[in-house]
Amino acid sequence: MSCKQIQELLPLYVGRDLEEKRERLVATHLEVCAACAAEANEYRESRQLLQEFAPPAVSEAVYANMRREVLRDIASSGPTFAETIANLFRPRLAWAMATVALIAFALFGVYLLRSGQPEPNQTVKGLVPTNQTVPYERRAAQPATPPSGSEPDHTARNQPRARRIYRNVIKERMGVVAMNVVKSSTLDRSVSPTAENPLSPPDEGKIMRVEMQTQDPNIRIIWFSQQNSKPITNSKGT
Amino acid sequence: MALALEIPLPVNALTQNQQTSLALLIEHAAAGDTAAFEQIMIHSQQRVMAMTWRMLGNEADARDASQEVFLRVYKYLGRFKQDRDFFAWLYGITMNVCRDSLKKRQHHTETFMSLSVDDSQEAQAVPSEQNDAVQVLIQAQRRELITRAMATLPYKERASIVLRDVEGLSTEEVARIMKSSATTVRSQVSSARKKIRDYCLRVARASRP
Repeated sequence: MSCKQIQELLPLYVGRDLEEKRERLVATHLEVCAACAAEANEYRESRQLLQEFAPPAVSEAVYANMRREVLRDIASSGPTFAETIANLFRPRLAWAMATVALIAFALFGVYLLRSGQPEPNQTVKGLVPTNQTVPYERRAAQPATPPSGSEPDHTARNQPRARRIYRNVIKERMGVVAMNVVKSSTLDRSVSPTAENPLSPPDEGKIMRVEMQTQDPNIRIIWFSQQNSKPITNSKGT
Repeated sequence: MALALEIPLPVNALTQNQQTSLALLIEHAAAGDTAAFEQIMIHSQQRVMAMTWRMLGNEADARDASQEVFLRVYKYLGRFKQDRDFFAWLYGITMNVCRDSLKKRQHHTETFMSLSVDDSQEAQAVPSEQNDAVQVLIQAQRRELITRAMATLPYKERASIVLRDVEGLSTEEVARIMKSSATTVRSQVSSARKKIRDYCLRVARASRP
């Protein structure tokens, strides 16, 4: 290496800041070059001067006064608004707030999900309301006029209490959203119930047909019942 | 009157017991215990004062800066993590305060050196022997020389050389405090040493008859 290159490295060499390989190169050069060795000594002396660079002695009274001023400033100033806000985001408090927010969000989500489900007694759009007859493919003949007194009033408030309770149970437990009851003594008896035709009514006595539309639009329960006999329950799709 | 010289200790000079007690003091002070914080100040006031004096060059500015350093230490003590080196963290705050203080100065080269041989405490001391008086004078002149040399350095070079050569920190530690790289610190230290050496040579040649 040339003297110029060595002189560039001398400031770091005197402070042992060079990597080992370069340090050895410089040391070898200084052994044979008096000019570079003299310059290295100058760097060492100024560095030693710097290391002895001590400030003047400060009395304990000055230190005590400084501490007093600091403690007074601390006592007189509370946290600023920015510091108060910043303290909210300290690690522990931030974790606690995040946990509380997560729990609140979860509870709110559960509330939204539950309130989004339709009520059991709500009428789903497109379904049969309670005061209309459902048209079917095979439909029993309807009486032109219901016999006086024989057709029960389908409005809930005029029905016997037992029937009202029964209807409510059906609605709640079976998820029925609409129900229509047709009572007739002259239903079409030409089609007798068979395995292939389970929807046809029995051919004797007064027939009560109960049509119930569930919440699932694909499921409709048609229930034929003879008066004073057990009802025959048929359902589509089940 | 005895002459007191401050010899800065290297960062790792604390014993295990001292480190444990300092950690406890930091924990209490961070919780708001001002008595514990005062103990921390007593432990570190000399280092901080010496550092600010070396960076700012006069006692008045050094005192103000030291006060500001401790106020910031108290303010941010809650953020200090115990696995870090406390004094390295303290040096970082001190450097930031000194940098802010230097920026506020309009003519920092004029106010940097207010200490002259006549005003120094060492010069006013009554030496017991003539040799002591000569030594005191030499010491004061050397201090003045190096203080003026430091005044020629830009802030980053001055900070790097004080932390590296005066406080004895490693290049990596200095880089961490200065939020810089080891290569940059080495370059700044090299430049600072060269400038100080050149200044001392110039003064020496100028003083020759």
